[in-house]
Amino acid sequence: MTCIVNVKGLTKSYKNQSVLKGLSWEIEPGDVVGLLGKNGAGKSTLLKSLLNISDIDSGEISIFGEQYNQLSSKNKARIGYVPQENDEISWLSVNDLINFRKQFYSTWSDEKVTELISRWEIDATKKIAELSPGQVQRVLIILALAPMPDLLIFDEPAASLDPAGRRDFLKEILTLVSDENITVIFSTHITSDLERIANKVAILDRGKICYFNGLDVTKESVVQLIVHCKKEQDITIPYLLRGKVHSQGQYGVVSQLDQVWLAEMKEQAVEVTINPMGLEDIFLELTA
Amino acid sequence: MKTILLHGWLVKVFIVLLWGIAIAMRLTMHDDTRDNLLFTLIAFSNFLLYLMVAMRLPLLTHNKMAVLLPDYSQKLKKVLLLVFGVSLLPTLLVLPDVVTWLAFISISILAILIFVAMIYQPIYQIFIWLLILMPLPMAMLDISLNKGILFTTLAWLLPLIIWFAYVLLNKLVNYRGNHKHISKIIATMNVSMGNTLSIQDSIPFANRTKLAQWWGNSHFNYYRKLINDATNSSQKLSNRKLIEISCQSANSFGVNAYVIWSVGITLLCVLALVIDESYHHLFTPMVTLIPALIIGTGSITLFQIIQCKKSYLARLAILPRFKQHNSFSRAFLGYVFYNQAILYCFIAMLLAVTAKIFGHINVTVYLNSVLILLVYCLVTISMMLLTWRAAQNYCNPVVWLMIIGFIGTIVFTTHMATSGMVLLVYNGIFQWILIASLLLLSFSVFRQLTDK
Amino acid sequence: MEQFIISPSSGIPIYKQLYSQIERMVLNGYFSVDQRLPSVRQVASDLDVNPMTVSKAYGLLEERGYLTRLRGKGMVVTARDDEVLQQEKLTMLDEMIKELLAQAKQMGISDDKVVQMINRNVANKQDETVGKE
Repeated sequence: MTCIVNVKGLTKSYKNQSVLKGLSWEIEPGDVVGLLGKNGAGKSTLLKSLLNISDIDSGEISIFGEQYNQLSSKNKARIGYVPQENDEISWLSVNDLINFRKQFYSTWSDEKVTELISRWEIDATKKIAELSPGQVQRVLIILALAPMPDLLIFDEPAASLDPAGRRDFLKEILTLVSDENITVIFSTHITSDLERIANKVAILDRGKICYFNGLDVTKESVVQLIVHCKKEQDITIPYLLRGKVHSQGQYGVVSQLDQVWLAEMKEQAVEVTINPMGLEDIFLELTA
Repeated sequence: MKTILLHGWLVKVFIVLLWGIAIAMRLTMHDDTRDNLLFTLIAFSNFLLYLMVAMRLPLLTHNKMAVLLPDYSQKLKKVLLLVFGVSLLPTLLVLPDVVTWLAFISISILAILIFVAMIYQPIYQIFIWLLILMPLPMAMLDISLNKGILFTTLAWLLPLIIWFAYVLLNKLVNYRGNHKHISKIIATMNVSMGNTLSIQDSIPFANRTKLAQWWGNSHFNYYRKLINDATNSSQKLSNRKLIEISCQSANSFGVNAYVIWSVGITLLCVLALVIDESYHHLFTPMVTLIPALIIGTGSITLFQIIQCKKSYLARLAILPRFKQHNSFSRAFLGYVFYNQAILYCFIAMLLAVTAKIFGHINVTVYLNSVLILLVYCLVTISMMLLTWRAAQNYCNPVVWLMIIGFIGTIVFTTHMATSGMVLLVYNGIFQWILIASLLLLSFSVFRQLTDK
Repeated sequence: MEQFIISPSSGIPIYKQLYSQIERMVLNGYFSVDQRLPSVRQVASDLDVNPMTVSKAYGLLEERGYLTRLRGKGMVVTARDDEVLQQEKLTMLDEMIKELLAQAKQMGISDDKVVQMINRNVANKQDETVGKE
C-alpha cells in the first residue's frame, strides 16, 4: 500500500523543550484524518514539519513517496495547506493575493475561487488587514482549495469561524472528499467537527501519535465498562485505561474491547454493561 | 511577485519621473555637466528602486508558503532579474561611453548587494558608514582617486561581479535563515507608513537587541523618575507633563537621544579641532546629514506617536483634572509645541556650533537655514494638529508628505547654501511663505481649541 | 428530505445510528418494498457527514439483506417473504426486550415485576379498545 504521508522517528525540540519524540505516522490515500491534541501538544509543529515549513531535528518524512524536503514541483502543486496563523502580506488586497498564488499553479481553478468568494461573501478588493479573522481564514481556505490539491492539510481551520461558517466549510470539504479521492489531514480541538467528516482519528500526546484508528472503530472499542461482580471475584479488565473498584463491581474505561474476555465473563455469569462514549470523552480518556 | 516588490505608487511615480527627467536631459542638454548630472540622477533613482525592492524582499523569501509553492525560487529569481533588467534601461542613456556604462552596472550590482546584505544582516549597515567616512582616511593616507581609473577597473571587474552576484542570488532565493531579525523587518514592512514606528513597540522586550533594550530602559527611566518624584512630593504633575509621559514610546526622540547626539557631535568637533583644518571639508556631508536626520526623525516620530496614542489620549482627556473647558487641548498643544521647540532649538544650536567649527556655512546661510527649518517646523506642526483633529485617518499620506517636504527642504537648503543668496528675511516671497505657515499654524491651533 | 436524524457526538458511530434507523424504517414499512433510498451523496450532504460513513451503513444493510443494490438505480428495499420479515421483526423486538430487562436490573427491578407491568399494560390497552367500541 502506498502511503500519501509516511513519517518515521520524527523528533523536534524548541530550545530545551522537546515537542515531538520519535513520532511515526502513516496516512493512506482517501483518508480524512482528524488530528486531536491538547493545546501545546505540537499539532501545528507536526503539520509544519510535514510540509518542511519548520525544520526538524531528526526523522524521515515522505510525501507522495518523495522526501519531504525535496518535493518535485509537480507534487508541491498537489498540496493545499491552511496555516493556523495568517502571515500573508497584510497590505495586499484579496485579489492581489489570489493572483500572487495563482501564478504558481497550472491546475488553479478560477471558477472555484469566484464561487467560494461569492458564497462566503468576501470583498476581494479589500486588503487582508481590513478583513475580520474569520474572513481571513476563509480566504486562506480558498487559496488552499483553488489549485485542486490531492492532499489538504488544515491547521485548526475552523478556529475563528462562526458555527455557520464552520458547517459550510465542513460541507465544502465533504463535497471535495466525495467528488475526488483526496486526502485530508486537519488538526483541531473541536471534536464535533471531526466526528462528522473524519474517518480516522489520530491523537497526538507526549510527542507521539499515541492513538490512530478509524473513527467508528474507536467509538466501538473505546468504551466504558461496568462489571457487576463481587469484590472477592478479582476480575482484571484487559486494556484498562482507568478503573475503579466499587462494592457492587468494577467500573473502567478500556482502549479496546476484548471479545474473548467478554465471552469468558458470560461463562462465569458476570454481567458486563457496555456504554459507548462520545469522542470528546474518548479523547480525554486517552490523553489523561 | 512584481506587485509585492514594487507596491506603492508614490515611489514608483517618483522613480519614473526621475527617469523621465534623465531622458529629457539627455535629449536637451549638450554641455559638459550633462554626463555627471545624468549619472547622479539615474544612480539616485535606481538606488531608490533597489532599496525599495530590497526592503520588500524578505516578504517573499521568508514567506512561510514559499516551500510549498511550486517553482517558487525560480519564479522569484526570474522576477528579480526582470526588475534589475528594467532598471538598466535608463542607464543606456549614459552611452555611448561604454566604460562608464559598464562601471555603472558594476556599481549598481554592488549597491544591490550592500542593500540586500544590510536588510538581511544588520551588521552590514557598517558599509554605509564606511562609505560616508571613506574620504577621510583616503585624504589622510593621501590616496587620490582618479575617476577614470576607478571606472575602468569597475568595468573590467564586471564579469566577476556578475558571477558573484548570481551565486548570491541563487542563495538568496532559497535563504531562510536569520528568522528573528527578518520577522521584525516583515512586521515593519507589513504595516502602512503611518505605523512603522509604533509597530516596533509591539515587539516583545526580550526579542529586542541588547542595545534597544538598554535604549528603551534608559528612556523610560527618566519618565519613571518623573512619576516617582511626583508621587513622593506633594506637587502634582502638570497637565503637559502628564501628556508627555503618556506619549512616550521606545522610539521617542527623548532625553537620551539628545544626550547621545550631543556627545556624538562634541566628539566630532573635538576631532575636527585636533586634526588639520584642511581636512574639514571632508566632514561637510556628515555635519549636514546629522541635523537633517535629527529633525526628520524627531518630527515624524512625534507625529506617529501621537497618532497611535490617540485612543489612549482620548481616555486621558476624560480624567477629572481635564474637566475645565479646553484644558486638555491646551495641555496637548503645549506638549507638541514644547517638544518641537526643543528639537528646533537643538538643531539651531547644533548648526551654529558646527558652522563655527567647520566653517562650511557662513552667517547668512546659517540664518537662512534656520529660517527654512522654522517654516518646515511650523508646517509639520500644523499638519500634525490638523491630522489629529481629522475624523478620517490620513496618517499614511501625511507621513509621506512630511518625508517629501523634508527632502524638499534639505534640497532647497543645500541649493541655497551653495548659491550664496542674501538673507531670506528680506526676500518678499519668503516673507509670504513665513506668514502663510504662521497663518496655517494659527488656524490649526484655533481648530484644536474650538469645537468638541 | 431530512428523514434521518443523527447525533454525531454520541458514542454510537454514525454508521450504526444510520443502520438502525433504516433497519427500523424498513421493518415498520416507512420504506416499502422496491422503494429507492436516497443516494449516498444525498444523505451525506443532508446530514453533513462523510459519504464513506453512509456507504458503510448501506453496505451493512445490504449484507444483512435489507437492501439490494441495483445498477443505475442505487439502493432499493429488498422484497422478502413475510416469514423472514416477521422473523427480523421478532429479533429486533427481542433485542429491545433484552435492553429493557437490563435497564430494569440496573434499577433493581426484578424480571417478574417487568412481566407484571407488561401484562398490566396489555390489559389496560384491551380495556381502552373495548371502551371505545
